Amino acid sequence: MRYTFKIGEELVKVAPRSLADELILAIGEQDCRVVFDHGREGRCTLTLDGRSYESWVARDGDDIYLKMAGHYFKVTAIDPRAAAAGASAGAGAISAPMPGVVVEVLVAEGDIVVEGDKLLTIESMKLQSTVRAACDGVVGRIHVSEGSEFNKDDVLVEIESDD
Amino acid sequence: MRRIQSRVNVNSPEYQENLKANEVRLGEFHRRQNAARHERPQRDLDRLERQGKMLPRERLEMLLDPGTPFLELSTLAAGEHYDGDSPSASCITGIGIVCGREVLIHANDSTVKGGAWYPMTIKKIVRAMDIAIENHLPVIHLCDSAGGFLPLQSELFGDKYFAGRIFRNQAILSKMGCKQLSLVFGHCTAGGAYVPALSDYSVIVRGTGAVFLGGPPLVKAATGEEVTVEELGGADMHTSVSGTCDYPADTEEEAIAIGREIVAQWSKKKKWDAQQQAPEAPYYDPKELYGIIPANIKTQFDMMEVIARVVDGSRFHEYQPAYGKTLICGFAHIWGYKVGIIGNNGILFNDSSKKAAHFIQLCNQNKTPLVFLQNITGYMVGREYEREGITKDGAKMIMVQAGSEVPKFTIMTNGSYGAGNYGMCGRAFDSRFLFSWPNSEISVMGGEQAAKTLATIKTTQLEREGKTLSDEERAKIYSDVTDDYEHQSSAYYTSSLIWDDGIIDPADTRNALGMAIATAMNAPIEDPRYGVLRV
Amino acid sequence: MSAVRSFKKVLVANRGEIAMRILRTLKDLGLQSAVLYHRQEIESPALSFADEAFEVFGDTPVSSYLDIPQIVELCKKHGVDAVHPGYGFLAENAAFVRALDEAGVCFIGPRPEVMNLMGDKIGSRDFVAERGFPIAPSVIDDGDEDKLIASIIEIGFPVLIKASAGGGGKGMQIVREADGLRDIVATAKVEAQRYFGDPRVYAERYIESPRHIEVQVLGDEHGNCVHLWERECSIQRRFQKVIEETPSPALTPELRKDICESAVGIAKATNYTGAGTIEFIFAPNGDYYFLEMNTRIQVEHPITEMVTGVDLVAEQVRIAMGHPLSYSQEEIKQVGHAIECRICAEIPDDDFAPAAGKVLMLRPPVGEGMRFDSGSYEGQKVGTAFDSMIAKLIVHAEDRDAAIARAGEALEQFVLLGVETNSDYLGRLLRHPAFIAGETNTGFIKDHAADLGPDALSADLQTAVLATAALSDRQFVAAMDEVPYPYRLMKEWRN
Repeated sequence: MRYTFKIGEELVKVAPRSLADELILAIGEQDCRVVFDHGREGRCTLTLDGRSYESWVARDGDDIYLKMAGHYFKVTAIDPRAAAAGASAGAGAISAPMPGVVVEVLVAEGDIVVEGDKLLTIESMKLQSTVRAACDGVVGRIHVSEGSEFNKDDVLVEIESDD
Repeated sequence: MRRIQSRVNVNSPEYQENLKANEVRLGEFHRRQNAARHERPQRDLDRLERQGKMLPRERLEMLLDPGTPFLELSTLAAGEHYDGDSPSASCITGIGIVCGREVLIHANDSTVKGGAWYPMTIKKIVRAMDIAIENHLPVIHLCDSAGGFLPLQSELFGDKYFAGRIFRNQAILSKMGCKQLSLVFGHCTAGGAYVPALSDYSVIVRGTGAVFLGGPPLVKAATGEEVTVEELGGADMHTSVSGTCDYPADTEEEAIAIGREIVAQWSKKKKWDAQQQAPEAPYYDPKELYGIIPANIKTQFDMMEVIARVVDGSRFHEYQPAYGKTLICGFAHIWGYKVGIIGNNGILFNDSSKKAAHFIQLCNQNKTPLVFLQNITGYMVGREYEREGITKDGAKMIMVQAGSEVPKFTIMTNGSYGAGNYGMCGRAFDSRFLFSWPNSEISVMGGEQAAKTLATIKTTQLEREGKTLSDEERAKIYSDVTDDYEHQSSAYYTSSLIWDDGIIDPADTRNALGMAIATAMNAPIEDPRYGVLRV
Repeated sequence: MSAVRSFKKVLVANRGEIAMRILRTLKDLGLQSAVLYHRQEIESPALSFADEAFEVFGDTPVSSYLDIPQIVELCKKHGVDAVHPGYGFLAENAAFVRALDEAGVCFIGPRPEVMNLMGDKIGSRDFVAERGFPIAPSVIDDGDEDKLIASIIEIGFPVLIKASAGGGGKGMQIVREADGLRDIVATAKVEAQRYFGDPRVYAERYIESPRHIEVQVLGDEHGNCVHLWERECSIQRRFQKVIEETPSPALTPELRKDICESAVGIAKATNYTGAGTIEFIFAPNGDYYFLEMNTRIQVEHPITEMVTGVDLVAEQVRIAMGHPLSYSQEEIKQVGHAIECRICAEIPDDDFAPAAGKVLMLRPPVGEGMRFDSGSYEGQKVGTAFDSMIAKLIVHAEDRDAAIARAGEALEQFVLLGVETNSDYLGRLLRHPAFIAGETNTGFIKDHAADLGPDALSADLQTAVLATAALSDRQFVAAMDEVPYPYRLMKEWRN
């Protein structure tokens, strides 16, 4: 079992190849000799094929935030079970394009909708916008209600395809 | 512990000749192994892809912890049978690490006749589960099998060690507290349905996984009822209605992920507190074994040179170095585990037999696992030796060896003939694991000697029937008999019959033994007791 | 009028970094301090930093900070003598000042009349123009087209023409020469009629590539008024300042003197009391025009404090107490160069969309000439409830180049994990050759957008990031740690 990590939009598999005195990680297609020191208070030192990288690291659940070489990164550990479930949850799941607040919910669970139907009014950055159905189907779970705050990529509404 | 001083000269013509011969042997071995593992008709691979299934080995790799070893068992099982229709006996068995736990894995190979069980498949599965029982291992079944291979049903159903034994072993394992998990990727039909049903945990994949005693065609034939696979034994039915399976999964990946989560819940049993130290690589390169194993099986070689290329740091404490010198006994470490090693350096005489019996008792007293390195033509014959009690001394060796409580491991390094096979812990003597080198042979007596005897019997018989034989006819009979005999004594033939747990590359001996010993430490070692010794 | 009042307890009617900033000075002055908080901010460091903290309630966190009756009631109940409003919320709300007056609580800031006068865009422009200070020349169409054309030519080109009744960009155009002006005006009038039902147009001098330059002033009740030099705040996005600096690289000593004196003149004309900022739009040719006045402490006030050594908040408090200014104009020197970078929870590479998350790690930069103003704390949830600014990073050095370098170092040292911020982006701005050359204007971010995209990262760095992330991931490490000996040493051996 290899672990999948998301960096930007890219999914990369990472797995130890050797846990012996020398740690070798397969990162994508590349095998790297790694020495890692989880220093104090989130200060980490990594030696990768002889080159040294300092970083600050903090975790929040599956999200790993780090600052390395003056740049910030967010890496997400993909739960193998969630990833598999997500794949089958279907193209009907509509997620938030950006963080915001729900102004109005315009449909109810079980409603029949066609592509383009209004589902929600949301407000982000003082701008109200409408979330529309991306396909024909039946409204499945609505994960938000009026006034609820959401983050980017949160699933708002699920549309179950009726074919 | 002192390092063995090797006397091998890698530049000698003898070494080079052996090297050449063994490279040819290894080439053949790897070719056969690769074919058994990977070469399948395109049609079967296409079918799996159409079904959205992973290859059995892909499932296996996904299940195992990355960065950890896998000891595959009996890869060449059934290789010399069924015209090669059942490569690897249509299944994969082995020991691997899942969530940091040693598990025995049994995977149906649906690339071969839909994973149908041949008689050898059953023998291989039963042996794997015996390993689990002997070593107290949990088992993960990767189920995807069409059931018993009907054309050969008379060879797989009904006898003690036939298909029923799989289920008996499952029940015994569960009773022992060895957990079992079934991941149902494909159909589990008829007897196969009991594999998940007798498992403590089971996961089933929607759409492709199904469990039923009789498939839809059988149901139709038996009762006239028309029913779909999903209705009859699909994932949702079994996980929400019948309770036959525990977890539904949407994909094979998810099933494996759930399976790993389940394994992660299992308590980690404390292993036997074996004598151990930090592992050390052998001082001498194990690959030098290729220059040591003789090109001709009749050529004697020094087993000490083999020990030097298997044990930690090539260090060896020899017991009774001056007595019974045709048998080497002593202590060493393999991957940090203390072991007692018994290796042949010639024919077993009275003194070497008694030395063996004594050393085996020492190891039992000390609870030190035993490793047998077999290269034995037998116990010495002749008036003088019988008068000295060679049979009685051989019996002592067999008695204490068979009565041992410590785990035993056997490597067939070269020849193994006659009663020597017994004394040196052959298959009948319950080695926890027994591996063969590709060059090794087993038979009741040496090949040439046996062929001569057989050819003589055949010629005599023909002559008795009034046939006169020309010299060419005599030569033909002799060479046919020799070929047959050699074939049937070859490691490929005996491994095909699962007389061992697989053929290994000699250079892999240390790792195979390391995993085998570490695995064996899951079972406690009892106090020694023996039968009656004829002293 | 000039009677000295003494305060015992001062309430900071604000939150976040500015609350912390004000509380610090209140402590320095030996005053008892109090701060407001909403339930969502129960863990804010301001709560423990202040002597007292009063909870405010409301439908949303923002509305609770805007609830005048509730805040006045709290002041009465807890014996608050004065209120410092910070910036935003009620800082420029005359009704709040009056409500406090009625309750006998002093508002630390200008009088409500001045606030009203300068808070009105058009009224303040007229007020300033009447007193002879420069505003952008403009003309309003009274129906006489010839007169309009003549006035437009008088304003000078380029000129912006738009419908008087219109808003936004509709019917708006920039005219660069007199040729064809009559046709353009005619068309504009037709469009104005069509879109807004009113044919009248409005023309104003269009300033290309302007800079935003503002002057900090302080006025007391004794008629004293001084400036504390200028700040340039040209680097903006979505009309929000991102980087501010002082002195402005655009000003010659003469221009500086001129613009600062204009600012003092305007402030004096209003009898301004307290701290205020006069904002100007500064044309490339050196012309400058009054834009508006902010009658409060500004976000970017620390850079002025860095170069002048004046504690502006302390001066605000003293002025409110009725004391005369602590400094004469001559005593206020502009020493060295200061830069402020606003750290905001946003995604610059996604058109500055706001970012949300939880602050997991916060490491302020520490060093000579570095100041870090923040109300953030580890565990803080950053969402859409408040402004996206989480901290201000301020540096001071002997000259501009050194200040830019120090700002770079401070950004390098600064760590905020858990919420995406513009921190990387600020670094890119500071490294941009045009910024280094001082060639800044309010269009900088748009004009240089192509150069300000994310740095291309080497594959090695990405690999290092992934390795670090994996080895910091609980599950990954737990799975690795679980592999027992001797299997760890056998690697991926297969027989």
